[in-house]
Amino acid sequence: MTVAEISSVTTAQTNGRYAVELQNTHIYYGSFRAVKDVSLQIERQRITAFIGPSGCGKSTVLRAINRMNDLIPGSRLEGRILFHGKNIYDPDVDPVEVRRRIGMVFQKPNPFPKSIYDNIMFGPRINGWRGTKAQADELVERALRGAAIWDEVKDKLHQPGTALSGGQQQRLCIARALAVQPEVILMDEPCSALDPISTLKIEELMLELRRNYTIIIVTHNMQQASRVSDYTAFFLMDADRAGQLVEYGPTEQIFTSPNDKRTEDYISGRFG
Amino acid sequence: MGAHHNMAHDYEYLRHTLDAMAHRVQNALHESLQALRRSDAIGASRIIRDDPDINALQRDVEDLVARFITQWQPMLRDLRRVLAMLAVAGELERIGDYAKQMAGQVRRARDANLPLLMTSELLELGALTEHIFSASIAAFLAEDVVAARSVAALDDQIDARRHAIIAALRQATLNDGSLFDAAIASIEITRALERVADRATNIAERTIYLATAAHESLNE
Repeated sequence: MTVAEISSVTTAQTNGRYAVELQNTHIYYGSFRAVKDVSLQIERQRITAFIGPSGCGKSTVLRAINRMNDLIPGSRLEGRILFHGKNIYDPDVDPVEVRRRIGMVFQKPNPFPKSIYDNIMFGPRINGWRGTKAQADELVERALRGAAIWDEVKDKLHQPGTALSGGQQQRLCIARALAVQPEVILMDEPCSALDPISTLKIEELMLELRRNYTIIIVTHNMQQASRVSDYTAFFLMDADRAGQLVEYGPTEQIFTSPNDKRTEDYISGRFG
Repeated sequence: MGAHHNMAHDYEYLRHTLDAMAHRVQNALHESLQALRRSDAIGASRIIRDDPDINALQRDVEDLVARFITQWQPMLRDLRRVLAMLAVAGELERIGDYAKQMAGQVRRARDANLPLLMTSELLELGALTEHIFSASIAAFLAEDVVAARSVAALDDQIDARRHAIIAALRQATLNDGSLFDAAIASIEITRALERVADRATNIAERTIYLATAAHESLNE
């Protein structure tokens, strides 16, 4: 059984409210426990920010949500991560299908050394695209429009994606993620390599995408987390150097009156 | 750690500037009451002359807050603290204006050879007002929520005393119409003192907000 096959029957189980649920998740690299006992419910069509100092496990948790950690030798997960009520770590789940439904955008824009058009069609093609040329053109346009970059590239679709500016490359990467019609988009510090104007464009785009997608973003930029996200999760390393979830709640509450002193100290810049 | 130390250093400078402004305003308020006590037109003129220095300190606080926010992007309590300082500087500037208004009343009365009525009651009201002002500034600088809440009770006392003075002045003018102008001058002074107490209460409210992130009205 695949995630796609079970999605329609299990939406009711999650009441449609949560896109992803982590239940008592522990993540190991070999014998080292990198993340300890994280339980978290990610609300659908909302932006959730993961914040915390370097090494607190937030990127590890993010990558676990679409099984990207599987690609790291020795990585292992205990607990469950539910997507439409189905544990994506069950043996019968195809990780490639998980990654199609839960896309990812990385810290550094990483367009393939191909044309803008081929960058967008890459995902659909490896997923067995069978459409016509006209349908492919339409898909490329829809993805580029969705990532708010169509107007800037429509006259140079067959030029290399690597020739675009950093901010445009990142939006191209978002368009590439949209092309396979995911439900969730994971963003790992998507603006850390971008200038302030490009950063604001990505943030505006995230707010647009929230209408149709669930977004989870890892960011070190507190102002960015407070600007764009609806919910914020604060992670911190414990005495064993394992990342743990300290506090999770509506962003407004976390950034005005957090419950945990450690959250307040981190947001105020007192450590990290 | 180092970066946060520099932020603390810049904050201390800002706090020091606000503290200096509060002292200037406290002094102006005290001197205006002394001018009232002595019916001292020269002392009153000095308060009016020096008021622009208070206004200049308010602009200094504004500049420092803007620079602090730009350089440090403070969050949570650090942000509330500097925003509260900006607001308190505005309250202090207005309190300075009320001291100037009282000095103006003293000088006009003196120039017109008009005796001010109920001076001792006005001075008692003034002493209470100085007390509430000092208490609210001390609570703010110490970020002391309990002390800030106690300011509300003092404000109620000031309102009660002011109403008693106005009632007495009203009765006096009913008995003797020639006292009308002098009574108006004294009422204006009570009004200025009552406004100082209101501004002091606002400072107490800012203290509570800065410490708790919750808005609490002490004026009800």
